[in-house]
Amino acid sequence: MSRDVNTRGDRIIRHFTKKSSEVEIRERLPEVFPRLWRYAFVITGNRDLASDLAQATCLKAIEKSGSYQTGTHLDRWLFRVAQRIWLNDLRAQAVRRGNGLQPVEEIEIRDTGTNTETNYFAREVLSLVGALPEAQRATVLLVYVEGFKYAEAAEILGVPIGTIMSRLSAARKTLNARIGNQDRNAS
Amino acid sequence: MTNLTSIRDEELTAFLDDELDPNRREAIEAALQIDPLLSRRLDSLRIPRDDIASAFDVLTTMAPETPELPQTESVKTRGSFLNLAAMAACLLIGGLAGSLFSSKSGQRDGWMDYVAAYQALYVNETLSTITQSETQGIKQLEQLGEVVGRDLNGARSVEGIDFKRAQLLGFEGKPLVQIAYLSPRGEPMALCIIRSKAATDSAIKTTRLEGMSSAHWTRRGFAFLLIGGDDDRFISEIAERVSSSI
Repeated sequence: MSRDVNTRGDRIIRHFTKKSSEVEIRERLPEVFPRLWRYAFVITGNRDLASDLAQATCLKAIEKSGSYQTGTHLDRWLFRVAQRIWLNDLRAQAVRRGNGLQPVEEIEIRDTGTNTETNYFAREVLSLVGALPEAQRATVLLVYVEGFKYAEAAEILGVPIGTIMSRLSAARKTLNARIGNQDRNAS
Repeated sequence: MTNLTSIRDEELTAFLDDELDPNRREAIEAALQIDPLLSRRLDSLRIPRDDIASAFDVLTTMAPETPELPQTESVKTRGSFLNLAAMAACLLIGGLAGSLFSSKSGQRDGWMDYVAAYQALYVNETLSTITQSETQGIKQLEQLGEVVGRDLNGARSVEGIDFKRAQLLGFEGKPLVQIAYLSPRGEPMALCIIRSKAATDSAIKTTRLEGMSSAHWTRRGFAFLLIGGDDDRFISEIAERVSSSI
């Protein structure tokens, strides 16, 4: 009888875990989605592909909700799911179709009408980062824009920390040569 | 002294990003004091991080709406999940109730598994503390009878078990009546009734669900499940009585 109870308890807890994971993903997805889409845009380099990838990520997230632990970092988990889908599936299709793996397309930044110079600089920065190789721009986004630690970025991208360091080092050299360190806040 | 040639750009990058352990960080700081070449290398790696981060803000505003997500079996009954979870929390066993709504539908008698999992959470005190007047009990059964479209009054007085309470649950959008009893040994028991698509009646069958004795049958478009305790013969006797009185 006690074995039955344990088995039953495990099953109940497993079902409950899957359920609450899915509920949490559904609830928090709208809040994380714009950042997920941005990540997808940066790695795919193209708006349509980004939307495809972001959508595929959401569907996969619901399908695999059991592997998400509630109360942990949903954003990191979603980025990792997106990264896998991109590498395992969409990237190869994009290459076959002849797009993807290109620098990020020219981005039309909405003119806020307030500070044209700021917009000009932002556009410049985006196009410089967008011109970096795919692996570098993904890493730059995760560490310098999303603010993840090296170890977190390494986990999302499924690479060693040393790879994160060398990608960032290479990206820094390129960006420094173009935008330099004239900014006093450069670090 | 730190061997300056051993400091790679990757380390300088980690230095700028504050990702070095304190010892290595101090070593590089000391080296920078005495080596202008190293300082120049460090400067050639500097970037305006804050400006880069804010330049990317605009991309989040370009994101489309969050896509519609398909409903899955495990969250279809979310409304009832919340209600029932609240109910289960009252029994101090909140989290465990999730299994009631997990995805087992599609099986012919899936509802019985859910009922069994729910019943498994009942203890004697769940029911023995209920004090209800006779009129309240009659009223509950009348109301529930109207909901499911079947006279349930006979369920109040089943010889051999003590009626405690009747309540409405739901399974996949269909009303499910749960009538709770205590056995003479003080074990919680439940009679559950739900509409059935079965065209023909089926006889009483006894089986074990979640380690408990149970009997189930269908009669005139309704499926019945009596469950609780571990005395198969007792369950089958009570089932005979119930099936003839409801």
